[in-house]
Amino acid sequence: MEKLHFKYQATQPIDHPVHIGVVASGDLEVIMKPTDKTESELNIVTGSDGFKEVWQNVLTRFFARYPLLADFEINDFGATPGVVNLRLTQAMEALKDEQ
Amino acid sequence: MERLAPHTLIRLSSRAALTAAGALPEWAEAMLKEAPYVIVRRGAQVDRYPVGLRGYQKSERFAAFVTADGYSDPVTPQQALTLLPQLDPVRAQLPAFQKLVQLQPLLQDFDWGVGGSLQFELVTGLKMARPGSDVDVIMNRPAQPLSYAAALRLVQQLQVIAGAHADIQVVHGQDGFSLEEYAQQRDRQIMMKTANGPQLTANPWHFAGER
Repeated sequence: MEKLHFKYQATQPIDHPVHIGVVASGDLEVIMKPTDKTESELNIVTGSDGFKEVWQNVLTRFFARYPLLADFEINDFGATPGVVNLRLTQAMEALKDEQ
Repeated sequence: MERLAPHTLIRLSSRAALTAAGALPEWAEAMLKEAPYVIVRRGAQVDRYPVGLRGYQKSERFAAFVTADGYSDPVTPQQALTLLPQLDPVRAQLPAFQKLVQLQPLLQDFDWGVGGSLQFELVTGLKMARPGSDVDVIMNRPAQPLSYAAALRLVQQLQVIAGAHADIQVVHGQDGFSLEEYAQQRDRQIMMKTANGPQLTANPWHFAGER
């Protein structure tokens, strides 16, 4: 198990929390919460060690497209980059739907 | 070419039946010598089968392919479960296998089996399971969809017996979704794993995406 921490510059604050996905084989859950800080902080707990660079690539692409300002908690259980991307996008869409 | 469902274990006819984009890592070559079994993973089955290799460590996973006629003895999760009574009695004491025994009454009305390291050990006899191994239930999609309430009851009972890292994946051909995600109702759509990658769907019980 590995704990990863990332920070990203972001401009679009969220106004309510959202919780998407599940901690199941090949999957993850993502919890986004509003923050008072000026950048997004991500705390990731992953069952698959040694993928920091892969995470960074997926996240950098995501934040370039959707600069959501929030505290992110991600609990990963072996999700592929495709699943990570789908879950982040789904969380973003869920925020939009509820607004 | 025969269709093989994801999570089926197959026995390689020869080392040459296995191909990969690059050289196999050392642990993978060593595993194949111990037991020449690989797991069918999701993906198109045109002239070869996409498969995964696994080692003793969680980080030891490798994607490869098997030629159309390069295997024998396919073992589905359901068939693997029937091997449980033949398991070495000492190994059967491991909590993960005990949990599997305890799950049987709960799931008796379903067509289900076991995936992951428990399946691999049941089939190969290699000591793959650990005391804290996950219990991966693979359930064929029932003809009647489960209500949210019924799914939630099942998932909660599963977790009482098998702990937090137990999951039921409902499968139909190449497609599969997490019963827990369905039961949680966190979003109006849930993730469906398909041969062409993950996608979201609002109706997992009647999902008919690309095959």
